[in-house]
Amino acid sequence: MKGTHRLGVLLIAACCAVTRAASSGPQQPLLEFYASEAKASDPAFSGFSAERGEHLFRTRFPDGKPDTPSCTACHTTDPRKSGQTRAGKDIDPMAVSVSPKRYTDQAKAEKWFGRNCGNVLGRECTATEKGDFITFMLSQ
Amino acid sequence: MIVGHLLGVAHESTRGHATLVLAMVTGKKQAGLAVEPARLARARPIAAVFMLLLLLAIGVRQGVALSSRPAYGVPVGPLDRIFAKECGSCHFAYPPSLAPRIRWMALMDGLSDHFGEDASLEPDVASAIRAYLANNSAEKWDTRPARELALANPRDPLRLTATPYWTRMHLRIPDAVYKSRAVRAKGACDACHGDAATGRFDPQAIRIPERAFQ
Repeated sequence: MKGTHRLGVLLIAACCAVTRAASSGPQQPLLEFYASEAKASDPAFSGFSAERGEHLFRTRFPDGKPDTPSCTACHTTDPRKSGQTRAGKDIDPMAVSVSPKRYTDQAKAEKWFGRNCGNVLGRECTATEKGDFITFMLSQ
Repeated sequence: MIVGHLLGVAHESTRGHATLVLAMVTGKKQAGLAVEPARLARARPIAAVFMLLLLLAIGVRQGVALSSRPAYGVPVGPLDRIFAKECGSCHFAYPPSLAPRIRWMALMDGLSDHFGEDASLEPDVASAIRAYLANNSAEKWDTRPARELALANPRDPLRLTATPYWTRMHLRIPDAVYKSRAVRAKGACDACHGDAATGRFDPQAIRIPERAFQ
């Protein structure tokens, strides 16, 4: 009886591991949301790119607010390290490998993309840019 | 206390000072009337020690009980949850007693350019925070920072660390302290003020981290 129970637990654990690998984790719903938005605005959309996301993360933009010309101004150039706000508070690392809960809450993601795209780029980000950004952070 | 005095007057009057009440008005007392001399009382040291101990016990108990209560008007309750989360993610969540209502409302009106950053909020979150700030602004509290910080600096009227009081109180803190890793910013009150979250800012609770000077 005990043996069967253990086997069951093992099977469930194995199943979970496979599903997790296949759908690449809890960030998937948000990525799908941005993918459907991207498709709606650009029929030629063909998926997100970590390289484009990294470029977005590291570029200095001329039209943002003077204190925050790039994402790295607060998040540092290493996504696996903690950042710091201008007022001195820690920011959890952006990389999913270090902060696994990131990009799992759509309202939170929209709030911070909404604020920080304005701060850094001086405009709203497109759905493609948001998806690229998350894809880059998933690879980190 | 009043009853004790009245009883004393009544007692003295029956003991012969019939004119005591009249004397209070005229200022003149009848002298020389025979007043029975007070009897010598024996010292009662055991009773005296007992009474002293009793008074001491009651006094200490009351003193401890009273000093454990918050002072009048001092905000000690926890901050509103939404306020603490939304306003505390980028900077120290300043207790609402640190600015008068009019300044909080001006801050809330300008969140899209909040000291150089976009800090916009969803309308329902913003209105909840507005209500909390309006009900707990400096006018509602009797603390020194609440009174003194209400005076703004006309050249930078919304910034707490630009107010004349803040500037005066921090005159002797070198700029390097704010730039240090232990403090990080002028607005990081809680880096040095142990009671910053209550808005009380007791001088006894200040402790500048030693690392800030290295």
